[in-house]
Amino acid sequence: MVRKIFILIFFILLIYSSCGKKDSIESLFCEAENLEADILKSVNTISQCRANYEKILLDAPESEFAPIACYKLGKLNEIFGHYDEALDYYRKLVSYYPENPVSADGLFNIAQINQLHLDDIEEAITAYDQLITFYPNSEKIFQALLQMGQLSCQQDEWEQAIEYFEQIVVKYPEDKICDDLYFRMADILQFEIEEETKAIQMYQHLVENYPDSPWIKYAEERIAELNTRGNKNEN
Amino acid sequence: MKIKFMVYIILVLGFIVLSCKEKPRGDEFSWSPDGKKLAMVNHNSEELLVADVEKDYLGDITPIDTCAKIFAPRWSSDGQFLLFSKVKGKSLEILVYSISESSTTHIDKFSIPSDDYLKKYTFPSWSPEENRILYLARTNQNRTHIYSIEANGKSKKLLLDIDCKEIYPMWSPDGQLIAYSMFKADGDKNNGLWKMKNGGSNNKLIYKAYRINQLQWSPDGTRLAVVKENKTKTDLKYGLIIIDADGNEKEIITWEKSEIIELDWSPDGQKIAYVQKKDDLKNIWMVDITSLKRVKLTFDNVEDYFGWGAPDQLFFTIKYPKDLVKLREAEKEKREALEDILGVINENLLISQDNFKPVKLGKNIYSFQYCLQNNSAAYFKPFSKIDLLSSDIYFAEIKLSDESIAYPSRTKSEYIAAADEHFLNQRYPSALNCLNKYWDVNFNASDFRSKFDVDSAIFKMKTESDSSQMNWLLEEGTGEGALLKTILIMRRMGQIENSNWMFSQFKKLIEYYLALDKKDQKNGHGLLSWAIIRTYGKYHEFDSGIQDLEELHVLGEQDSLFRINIYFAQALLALVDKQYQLGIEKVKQSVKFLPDKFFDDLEKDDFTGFLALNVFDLYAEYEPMFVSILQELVQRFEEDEDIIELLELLGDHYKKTGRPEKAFDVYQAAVTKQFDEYKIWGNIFELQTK
Repeated sequence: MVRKIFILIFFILLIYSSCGKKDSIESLFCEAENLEADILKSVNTISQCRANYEKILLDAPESEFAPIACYKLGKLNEIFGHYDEALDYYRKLVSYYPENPVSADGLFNIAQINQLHLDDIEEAITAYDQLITFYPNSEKIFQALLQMGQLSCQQDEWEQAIEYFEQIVVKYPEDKICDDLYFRMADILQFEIEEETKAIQMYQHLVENYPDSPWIKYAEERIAELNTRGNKNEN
Repeated sequence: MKIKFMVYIILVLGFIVLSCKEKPRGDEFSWSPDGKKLAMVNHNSEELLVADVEKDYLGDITPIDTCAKIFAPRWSSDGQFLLFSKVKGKSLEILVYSISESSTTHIDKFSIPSDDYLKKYTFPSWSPEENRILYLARTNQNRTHIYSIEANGKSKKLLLDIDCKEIYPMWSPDGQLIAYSMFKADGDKNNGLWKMKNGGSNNKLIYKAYRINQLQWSPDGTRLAVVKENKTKTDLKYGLIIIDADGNEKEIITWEKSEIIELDWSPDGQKIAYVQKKDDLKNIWMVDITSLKRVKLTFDNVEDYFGWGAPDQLFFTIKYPKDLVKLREAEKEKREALEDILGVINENLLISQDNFKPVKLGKNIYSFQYCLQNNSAAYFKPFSKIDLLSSDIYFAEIKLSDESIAYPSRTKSEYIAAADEHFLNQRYPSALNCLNKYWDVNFNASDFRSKFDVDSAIFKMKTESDSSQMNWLLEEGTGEGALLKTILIMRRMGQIENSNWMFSQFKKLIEYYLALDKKDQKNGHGLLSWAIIRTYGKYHEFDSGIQDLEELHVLGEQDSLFRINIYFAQALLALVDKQYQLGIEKVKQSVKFLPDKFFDDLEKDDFTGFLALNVFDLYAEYEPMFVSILQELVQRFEEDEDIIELLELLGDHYKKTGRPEKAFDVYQAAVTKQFDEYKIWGNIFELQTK
């Protein structure tokens, strides 16, 4: 009897669980349908949003809203992976509204699209360079300098990389990345450019000014190693 | 068929006129060294002029010479002489105008092989220190001579006599040396950069190259920047190189696969700007001479390069981004129709790279010349004349140091262009002053009315057989829009009595015009109404335009075509001003005046011209009502043999607005009426394929 009751419970559970599965598939389906509706709704919203920005740009190209509209149209295209269209809008923005601060953001995005999506490093470097030169006070400068430093490293342009990293530490001495950059510059000076005296100075600067940095230990080791090697060479 | 044909003819003529519009060359302006005089070539009056320029006004304008082709006016370093060249037929004459003596001295004259010869470096130039001129002359034996000569035409000295066609000389900044590039033939051992003393001695090849196509001395004269071409079997490369005055290579700034067409040191010698051209796309780069760091300033959109102003200021124009937004065809056409009526010109933008800060300075600028000494600038702007069939012009504008604007106008078109600019910038008295000169009257004097009195002009014509005043009034009153513009300016200035009187004369003129034989109504009603539309449109006087035109209907009671055109003019002004309901009413009223048989007169082509080219495009917001008007017309002229034009118009509209099925039906109805309409068949096939 007990066994029969267990078997009955087992079947009830089985049926219940299969019902649950059905429920969950149904709910999955429902959820998908709702999401699809949301997508459709947002597609309409996006179209409307795009149309509004376009209208501003067309009807009032000299208004204060036009440069922002141009930037947003670039951004919308970028989000949806229409990189050529996005670049087109960003370039128009920078050409037509050069005085507007949003042009700096446009240039940064041109560089990022070329670097990350189109793999056109030369164009990316040109755009970062333009941003750094034309908009030295932009909020994007930090990122642009960092990217230029890293791209210079990738292309074995070590002196140039140091120039960019140095601009960052001079301009943003309080930034949390500065100790990393000092270590990186010292590392480049030691191993790539092979200017050991300058490398020691750079490690030293890191040790003296960023006592909480995780790089301190390694910097001290390297100073010691470079000094020892220096002494040996002198002898 | 003839309707579309006519519309096309008008468009084609317009296109030909536009394509004939010759852009300024870039060498028309020259500021004197102290900035107090401006020499300028006026292509409209075909004159060389010298204007006195003060901080806040443009003084006397003195005509120096007259010729259709005057090139490269250049001031001597002391500002006492103006050097220029005239080209007549195949000969080039070099002349010098003396400011103190107000006289011109002939320097030399020689034949030129072709217009290709007329390049920047082939025109004579002044020695930087003395008043000596350096110039090239080609002999009949295909040899090139380099001469130097004094400003008074004396002490002519032959510096070089060589069998080479491609040679460009340049003074060093202290005037002691002359560098020149020479290209004889592929692989010639004499190709490269040469240098000699200013008297012609010590002539030697200092830098060998396949070809040097640009050279510029640094401002301190110690270095030269050159663009060197390197040619291999498969490749042609362009190198921007800095060499010292002895020809030793100092820096290689860049090697490019595309041509470098301009090269320019900054006045402090710290930077070099250069223009790179690939296919039809131009870019400007700036190089820091110390760090050799290059920055690209543009995005494949450079139109003209104007060079440095202050040491850190570079001027150039970029093409106007016509498609700020990528428009669908229908929207594009609407935009074009609007811009046509409003007289909007969007060609380029003037950019100043001020210490690496890009600044947008203006729109539609050509031959820009900045003067550091007086902080003024001279340039040309394009002006679209109202009459579709007349040519467009460029007119000079001077921006003075106090930011005020002056116009050194010499021709009637230039006076009108200047009046428009003043009006659109609310400088109404200045606008009226320009019209004083245009009409050669003084609107502030009491007797100005005699010149515009239509009754007395008609009387004179009848009694004295003198039709000059009437013809003049007719031409100006019904053509270029000057009469209406005068009325509108007077209204803005509050001269209501004068403007009302002038408008009454305008109406009398129209009455007289309508009474003329058809063949004497020069350009027909269509072009007359266009002149009216474009005048009110450009001056943004929509309401007053619609109201003024209402008064013209009475004059044309017997002339239904005139009324159709005037209703259309009102309709377009209303539509441009977004008064859509009023616009529709005016279109409907015009339709009422259509004669029973629609297509039997060529002049009626204007009707579909209006519909096809303008109303359709401006009507987008009220499109269903427009379509209903068109459908009504199709029904009304169903039996007419040229109904096909309306059907095509309707089909095109459905196609443009994304209704292919409807378009297909209408096109089919059209080819059923007339089978050999290949263009419509083309549309049908296109829709079937889709």
